[in-house]
Amino acid sequence: METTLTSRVGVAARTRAAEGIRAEEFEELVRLHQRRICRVLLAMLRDPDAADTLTQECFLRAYEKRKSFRGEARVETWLVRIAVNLARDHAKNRRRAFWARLLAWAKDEEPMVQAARVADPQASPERALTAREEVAAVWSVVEELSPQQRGVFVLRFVEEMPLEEIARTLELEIGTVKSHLHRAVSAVRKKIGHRDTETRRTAKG
Amino acid sequence: MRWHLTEVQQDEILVGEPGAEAAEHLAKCGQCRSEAERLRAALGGFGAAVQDAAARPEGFWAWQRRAILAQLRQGTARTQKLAWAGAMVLLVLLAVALHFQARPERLVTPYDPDEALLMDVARTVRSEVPSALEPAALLSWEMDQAIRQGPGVGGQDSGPKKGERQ
Repeated sequence: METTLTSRVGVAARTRAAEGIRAEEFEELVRLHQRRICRVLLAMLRDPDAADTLTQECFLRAYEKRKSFRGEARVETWLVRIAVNLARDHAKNRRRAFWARLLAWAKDEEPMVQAARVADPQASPERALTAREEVAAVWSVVEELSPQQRGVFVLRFVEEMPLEEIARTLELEIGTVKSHLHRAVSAVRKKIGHRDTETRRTAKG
Repeated sequence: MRWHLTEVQQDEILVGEPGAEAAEHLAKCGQCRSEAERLRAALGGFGAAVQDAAARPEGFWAWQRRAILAQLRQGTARTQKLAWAGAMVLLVLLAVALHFQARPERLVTPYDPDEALLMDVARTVRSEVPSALEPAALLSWEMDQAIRQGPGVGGQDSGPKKGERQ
C-alpha cells in the first residue's frame, strides 16, 4: 500500500518535473515518508529526539527546495539525501554530540533491549544473549564510523538499498560506496570478532 | 577444508558481492558458512533493532505531521510579512530618490582665483576713478558741492556713489 502511494506521488512528481512538488501534495509526501526518514536518522544518530527534530527539519528543507526538485531522482531518494546530509551536519557539531551523548547515556541500553526482542524467540538464552551483544556491538561500531561510511552502512543494512541506489542517493561513485561499505563491514567484523577460537588463516594455504 | 575465507572475502560476502571462488567455498565449508551467517545475523539484527526503535504509535506520526505543517504555515506567513516589509522599504527608498531627483540642482561654481582676478580687473577698468584715488575724488566732489551751495549749507548729501560720473 505504502509502496503504491509512494510510487504514485513519485510518478506524479516526475511527470511534472518542471513544476517541482506542489504545496498541496506536501502533506501526503510527509505522511508517506516520515517513518523512513525518521528511521534513517535514528540509525545514523542513535538519538530518538534528534531523529524526530531532524525529520521535521528534513521536510521543512524539502518544502523550501521543492521547486528545485526536477524529478531526476525518486522523491524518496531526494528526501533520504536531505536526511543524510542533515545527519552529517548534526554529527559535525561535536560539542552538541558530546552533550547529547552525556545526557542520553541512560538511553544507551534501549537499543539492546530492543535487540533482545528481535532475537529469535526459539533460540537458546545463551544464543539470544550473544545476539543482543552482537547487535549492540554493531550499534557502537556504527557510531564510530565516519558520517559518510555511516550513511552508506545505514542505507545498505537498515534500508536494504542496492549499491546503485545508495550511490544515487548520496551522489557518490559506486566505487566509493563499495569502499565505504567494505571499511564499515570490516570494522563490524573486527568488533564482533570470531566466535570460535580457531585461528583463521588470512590466506589460503 | 584446508583453507578458509580471508577477511576480504568475508567482507565481500557481507556486502553482497562474493567472488565466484568465495561463493563456491562457502557452499562447501560449514565453518565459513556458519561464520558468514553469524555476521549476517548481527547486521540483520542491527537493521531490525533500528526498525524496532523507530516504531512509534500512529498518534506520534500524526503529531509530527501537524508540527511540520504548522512550521510551514508559520514560515509562509513570516515570508509574506518579510516580503511586504521589503516592498514598503523599497517604496520609501524610491520615493526619497524621486524627491531628490526632482529638485533643481544648485549651481555651485568652484572658486577660481584667475576668474576672480579678471573680474577685479574688469571692475577697475569700468570705474572712472582708480580705486586708489577714490578718497581724493570724494573730497573733490564735496568741495565742489560746498562751493555751489554757498557757505552754511552742506553735509546733507550722501556724496557720489562709486563710479558716478562727475
